[in-house]
Amino acid sequence: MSEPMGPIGWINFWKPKDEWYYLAPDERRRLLAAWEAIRGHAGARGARNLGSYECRASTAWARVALWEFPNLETLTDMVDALSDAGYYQYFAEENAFGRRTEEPYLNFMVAADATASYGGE
Amino acid sequence: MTVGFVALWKNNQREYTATPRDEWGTTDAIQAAFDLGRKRGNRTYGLFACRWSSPWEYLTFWVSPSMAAVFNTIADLERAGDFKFADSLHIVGHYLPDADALTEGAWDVIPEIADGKPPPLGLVLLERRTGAAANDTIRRRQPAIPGVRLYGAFDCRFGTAWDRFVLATAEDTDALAVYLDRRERTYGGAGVETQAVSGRLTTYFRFGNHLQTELTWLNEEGASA
Repeated sequence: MSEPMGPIGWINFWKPKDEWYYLAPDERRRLLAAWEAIRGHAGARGARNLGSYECRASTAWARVALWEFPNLETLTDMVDALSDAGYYQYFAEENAFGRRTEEPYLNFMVAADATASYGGE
Repeated sequence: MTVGFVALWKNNQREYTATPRDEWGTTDAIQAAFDLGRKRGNRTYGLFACRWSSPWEYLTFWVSPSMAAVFNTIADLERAGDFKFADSLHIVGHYLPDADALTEGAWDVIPEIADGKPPPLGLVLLERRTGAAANDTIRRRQPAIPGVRLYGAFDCRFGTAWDRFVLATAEDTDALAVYLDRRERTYGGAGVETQAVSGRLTTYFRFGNHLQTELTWLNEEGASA
């Protein structure tokens, strides 16, 4: 039994691959609906999509979506299901994830205190 | 779920000006954090010097019993002050049941420098599909190359811009080159992009301009294997 990880934050940068632009309209609509159903299933398991943002002005990507998942399994199941449904054939991504902390500065206070105890120079 | 973890890091300017007390106080705290990590089940497969082959100074990789074991060890390293002396890139992924990417018994083997032989090389190979390549393009049969030990393939799509990574050691540069060459041929024209970082196994950690010969990194890892 794995140790619990707590809620997972997910930053999802994405953009279409070239192939996307050459799909037939019906196929594009079918794929979007299939992928949205997969995301909806993650939502039913407790995932929250906080929003999608246009980010070409400041990154190499077209959009960034911010999510929080109740656990890592819900996130990886969603990514696996999207993969099975052809999402990564038509869209590229760069992702980052982390576990939620209520004390984001605590470790660095501890480390700085230890450094001070070594002489602080 | 079994997890693979890759750390690439490079020292910063602070390493050159730290006092001996800061160096060794922090080093002791880091070793205590690693020891706790070993108790959690983390297995570390060597310290590889990679200034000669990459933008980084060192490469190491772990196989861990869970994501929490990795996160808790990183948190311990943060509290120890590990990251005040280096800039790091970490990659983590879930083990993929791809038997061809895991040499039998590899997780029980801590790389060592054998008498009269060159230090073994460590390798992390990042892979992703490009274009409209099929889902299974990358998961093709891994070439079994004499002198190359594979430590598994790991799914990292959910946390990086890559689909997966493979961890390996090679007894010398020839074996590594043959492995990468054969691997490339299995891709064919299907559209797979790769990035490799390789390093040479080293016994002592370099802190600033000196080697920490008081600390035998490999022996610590070997003793817990």
